[in-house]
Amino acid sequence: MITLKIREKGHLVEIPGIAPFRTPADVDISKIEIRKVIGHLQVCGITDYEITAVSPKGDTEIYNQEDFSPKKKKKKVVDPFKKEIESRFDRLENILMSLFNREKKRNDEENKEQITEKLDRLEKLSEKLLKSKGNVIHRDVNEKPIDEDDENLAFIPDIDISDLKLKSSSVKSIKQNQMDELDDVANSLSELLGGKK
Amino acid sequence: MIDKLNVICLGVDIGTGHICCARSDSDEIRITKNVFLEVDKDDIPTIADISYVESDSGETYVVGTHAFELANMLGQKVSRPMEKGLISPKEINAIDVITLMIKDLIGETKDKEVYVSFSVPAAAIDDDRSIIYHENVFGRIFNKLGVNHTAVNEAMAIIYSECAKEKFTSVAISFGAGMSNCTIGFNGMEILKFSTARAGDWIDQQVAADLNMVANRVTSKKEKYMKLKGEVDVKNKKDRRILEALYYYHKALIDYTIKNIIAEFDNKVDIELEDPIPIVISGGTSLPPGFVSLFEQIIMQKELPFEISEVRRARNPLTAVANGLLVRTMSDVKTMGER
Repeated sequence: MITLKIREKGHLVEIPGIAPFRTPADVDISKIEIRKVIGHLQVCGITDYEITAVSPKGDTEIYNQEDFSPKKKKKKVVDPFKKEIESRFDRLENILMSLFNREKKRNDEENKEQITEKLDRLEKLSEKLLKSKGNVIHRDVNEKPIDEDDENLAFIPDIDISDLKLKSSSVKSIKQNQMDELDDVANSLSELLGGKK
Repeated sequence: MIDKLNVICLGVDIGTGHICCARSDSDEIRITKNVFLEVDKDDIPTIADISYVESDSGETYVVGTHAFELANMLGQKVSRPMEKGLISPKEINAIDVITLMIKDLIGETKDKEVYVSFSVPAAAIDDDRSIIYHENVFGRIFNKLGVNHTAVNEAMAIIYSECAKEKFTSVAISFGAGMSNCTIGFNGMEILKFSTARAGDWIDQQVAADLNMVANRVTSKKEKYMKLKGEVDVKNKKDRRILEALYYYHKALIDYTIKNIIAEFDNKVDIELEDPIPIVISGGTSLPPGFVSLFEQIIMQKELPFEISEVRRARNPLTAVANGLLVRTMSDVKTMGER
């Protein structure tokens, strides 16, 4: 079974194949294609949701908006600097191992000096290598600029009624609603639209 | 589960002519005219008993029914926050004034969780304006008022209000002030919806142009005397001329709407309706006595793509949309509670 849980309030979601529903909601979407559901949620601008899939064995997996975001589909970028460093460290490790093995066999003073000298040079070389390429930043060119803020809608003028005062009211009241009748009608509508299980 | 004591459901019908609100905790529907009139601040003492909005910067607007009455007394034209069913592009102060009017209409909701379905028209087939801006602005208004909101088609709301016994299967037409909205509902789902930009205001503007009058004077005469059948108790010759012109334009409006229902159904509906379905008529423009008989008379002359069981009027054409919207909100909230 696959269920969709939306926490955001105030949306009317109309996905073909199931009755329209108002959020927050928890609905069964087992019979609908997931990509259709995701497409509709994107169109409605709903991001705060969870899709829970329960297998016949009872295994549960939960997905959210990030799992369906195009970012997830991007190819893994291999950092060339990291790759180079890794290979050089491997080589250094091999050299050091062979030097160590030689030292074991020929344990004289002259040899000790040579080994220490070579190790010093290797250390300096490694430090130089790190410093020379350390400031290069590798980024995916398709990635969005980090500072871009989609949520900033400050250009929309605020509805400000704080300086408006209403004196008296011209609202008229008409006695009409029979609450029991309305309740029955609302029940039959929710049954028809699939609200009741 | 939804806590009934702490939840209030609302249905708010935002029409060009009226705004109307039904609440789940009240057996009364509240209504006011969706108009305002900017007046001189010096007039305030003389209009002390009527409803007005005063801003800190000194503007004064008489709002609602009182604005309409005052404008007629002064021979002025009222400002309308909405035009042809949508937010008016002409009135710069419309959004703030209408926000305050909606707040007043909804009434007290302190410490409650409030859910509303508000009415939106369908896109007009004879006008270029989209409903996107309108729907989003009203969403922001309800956000500002702290209300969880959903937009619902106006004519579908009539089906929710009036057609429970037909399992919400019907044709509903709302003849409002700015637009005529039509929806065909099948088992509670919309299968066709559209609107036309011809409705009550169109009638009044045509009559005003023909008889050289201000449109809201025509509206006032229409609301006071209009009958589409039988004798009218009007002696004044000019008023009888107004009623004559109003009759012709009512007939033209009905004919135009029916022709569009047939064309839209033929072009856009694939399903075949096996059983005859009712047509429910609502909206302020359908109020004059004889409107439904005239509609019936005109529709019988047409060849329709579906069978009609009856043509009937909503129990209260002015409040049916708000009532239906309340039904929809209550239904949604029940569904939420059961999930």
